[in-house]
Parts: sequence; C-alpha cells; structure tokens
Amino acid sequence: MHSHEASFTVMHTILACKAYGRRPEAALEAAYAEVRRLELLFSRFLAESEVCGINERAGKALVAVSPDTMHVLKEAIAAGRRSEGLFDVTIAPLMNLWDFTHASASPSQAAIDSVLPLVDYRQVVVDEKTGRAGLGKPGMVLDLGGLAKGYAADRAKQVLLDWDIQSAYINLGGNVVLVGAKPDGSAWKVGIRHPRIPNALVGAISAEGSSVVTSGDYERFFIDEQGERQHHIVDPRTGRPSRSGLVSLTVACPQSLQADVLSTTCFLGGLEGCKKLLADLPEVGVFAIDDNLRGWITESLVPSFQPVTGLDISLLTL
Amino acid sequence: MWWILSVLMVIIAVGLFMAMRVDGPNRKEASRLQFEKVQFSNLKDGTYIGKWEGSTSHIRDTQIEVKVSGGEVESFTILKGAVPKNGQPVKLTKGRTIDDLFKSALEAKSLSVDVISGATVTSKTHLKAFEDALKQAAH
Repeated sequence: MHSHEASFTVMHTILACKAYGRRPEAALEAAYAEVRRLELLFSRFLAESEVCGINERAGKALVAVSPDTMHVLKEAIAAGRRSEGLFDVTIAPLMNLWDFTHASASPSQAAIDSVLPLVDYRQVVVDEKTGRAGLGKPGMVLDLGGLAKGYAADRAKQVLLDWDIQSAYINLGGNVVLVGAKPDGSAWKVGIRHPRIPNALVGAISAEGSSVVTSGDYERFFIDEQGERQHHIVDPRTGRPSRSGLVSLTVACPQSLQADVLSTTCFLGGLEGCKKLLADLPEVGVFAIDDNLRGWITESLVPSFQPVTGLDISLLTL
Repeated sequence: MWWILSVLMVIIAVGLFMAMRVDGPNRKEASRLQFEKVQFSNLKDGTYIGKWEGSTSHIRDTQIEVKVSGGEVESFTILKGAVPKNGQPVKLTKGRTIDDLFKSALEAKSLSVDVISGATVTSKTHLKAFEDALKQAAH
C-alpha cells in the first residue's frame, strides 16, 4: 500500500488531503478535479458559474442548472426551513455590507435595514421538472458558501472511494472528511482549534469515515470602535454578527454537507437552539464552547472526545 | 485574491510554529503588530519586497517578494521567514502549491492529531511583510 499527501488551492481555501491505497496520488488528483469542477458551478466570484447566472437574472428569470446545483439548492432550502431561517443562502447582501475582510467599523442600522428584505431563502425558486432555478426578487444574491464546501468534500470522498482508497482524510478549508480509519486500524484524530489562543487546540475527536466541521467567531472578524468583536457569522434575523453566546461549535456526523450546515445553524441557535435543531438527529455529535470558554458536549460524542487543556466541560442534554 | 489569503493562512501556521520554538520579547513584539487597510487591486505592476524586522531580535524577520501584474498580485515568494530547512525560498503560485509548507504546518502541531477542523489563524509577521509590499505597490 502506498500513501500520498497533497494540497491544492481551490474554492478560495486550501484542500489538504492524505490517502493510502494502490494509487493514492492519482486518486487525490481526481478528488481535487471534482472539487474544482464544483467550484466552477458554485462560485459567486466566477462570472461563468451557475450561481453567477442565477444572481444575474435575480427577480427576472429562472436559469438552467446542473444536477449538482439543483441538489445543493434543495438542501439549502430544506436547511432554511428546518432552522426557521437561521440558515439562509441569500445572506450575501448582508455579508457584502459587513465586509469582514476589510472593514473596521460596523454598517449603520439604516444600511442593514435596507438590505434585510433581500435576505429570504423562501425566495429561492427551484423547478425540478425543467431543471431550472432562480431568485424571486431583483437585488437578491445567492451564495452557497454555507454548504458548498461540505458538499464538495462529500463528493471528493466519493471519488476516493471510487479509486478504491480505504483510508484517507480530506481537509477542505477546515471541513474535515474521513475515509475509513488509519491504515493501522486506529481512528483518525481530528484537532479542534482553540477559539481564543492562536495555534492551540481545545481537544480532539476520534473518528472514522465521518465528517467534522467547526464554525468559530475567530476565523474572520474585526474589533469595532466600541471594542466589540464583530465576526463573520451573521444572524439573518438581525443582520448582525450572532450573539448566541457561543464562540465555537463543532459538528461530527456522517455527511459533510450536513455538518457544514449544522455547524453554522447551531452556532447561530446557541445552546438552546442546538437542543431543538438536534432533537431528531441522534447521529450528530456536537461540541460547543460558550463565551465563558466553557465546553458543552452531546452525550453521543463523549466517548470519542479528548480534551487537551484544562477546559471545563458540561453535558449538553438534548 | 482569495487564493493568496488562503496560502497566507498556511504560511502563517508555519510562522506560528517557528514563533513557538523561540520565546522572548521578540514574540511579544510580533504578537502586538497592528495592521492597516491595504488595497489588493489597482496596484502598480512590478516586483516589490515587503519586510518585517523585529527590534529586539531578528529571529522572526520576514521578507516576501510580491509580483504585481495587471493591477493584481500575481504571485509571491517568501524570501525570509517560513522557508524549509534548506533555506531555499518557497515559490507560491496559483493552482498546485506549497506541499512542503503545509506538511510542516501539520507536523508542527505538538499534539498528535492527524488533521485540524476549523480555519487557521494568522502569522502576523508574514501578513505585515505582505502589507508592506502592497503599500509599495499602491497607487
């Protein structure tokens, strides 16, 4: 058995992966090609993408989309419905307003109020019969950033399985997907970043064949004039960075698309929202950190979680 | 532009590793660096060398060469800072990149994890050198 490790820049982030098998190098190249193919469909920054086509015709017409885009849109609408609008793929006008990459000041309430009517996942239209999709109002912007990486990571995993890879990890911009266990039969150990101490971890999750995704307020943020941290996880209900009381939330479950969606949604929902969102999902494990840096963990995740600092941890009972 | 930021994130993990190994006032100095707004487009074409130099020691000194064409950053090379053991500069370009850097970033973690969930934090000295180069390229 051979092993190969590679990293690629794709989807505005890094795809880092390692695979064990007969032809790991070719398998990883093929997995990258699949992620790149999806980027060309999903990116709202590439003029030729299907998402750009949808945005250009917002409020005017539906456009023909591929089965991949159709699938992701249906998942996005379902996630919006299940979370009562906490997960919203039309949040881009708000994100543009906040501009977390460059800004140092918050936008005015008037500016927020003016774009809020454009944020409504219920205005995402899909017509499965004709294979078309679109946005209901002019000025709306579709951004699949909340689940595209998860879907792409799932697809990349399928490519590795098709190449007969039985042991691998894929890390697409922090979305971790595992194929099987390590070659020695032990579980993969996935580190969870400390939300406040750079380069430190708060713990590790042992996992096989599943996905681990973390949302945190430390990824992109600025400190405003009032000294308040304004981070990139914006609540579509208020138009402002989430004040749910959580600073980091990790989801471990079989599918990365689901993990991607739930990490954002549960972060926005806070501990109380988590209980509601996870009520019918026994296969999903959650590890959250609140703003007092206390850890909260679901019972299902306890056996595979290993804390690495003196973190205070409580059980998150659903 | 995003690919550059992504690449920076990785470099940065390596930068932090280096920072971990050697303690001292220099680390504090680097950790307190503040950043200004820099423009990433509408730059003057050319090659610029951005620098960050510590005042108490030179262990974290960083130099990045940035090539600008068509008003945008085309590529950059780390001349000093997060470079492999043989001291050769690492060329970072669009598409396939930075295998070595990323590997060392992962190996650098003292904890025996295989992979890390969540986005990476930043190495301030590398960002500072990059900012310096962009300021030179700004109109």
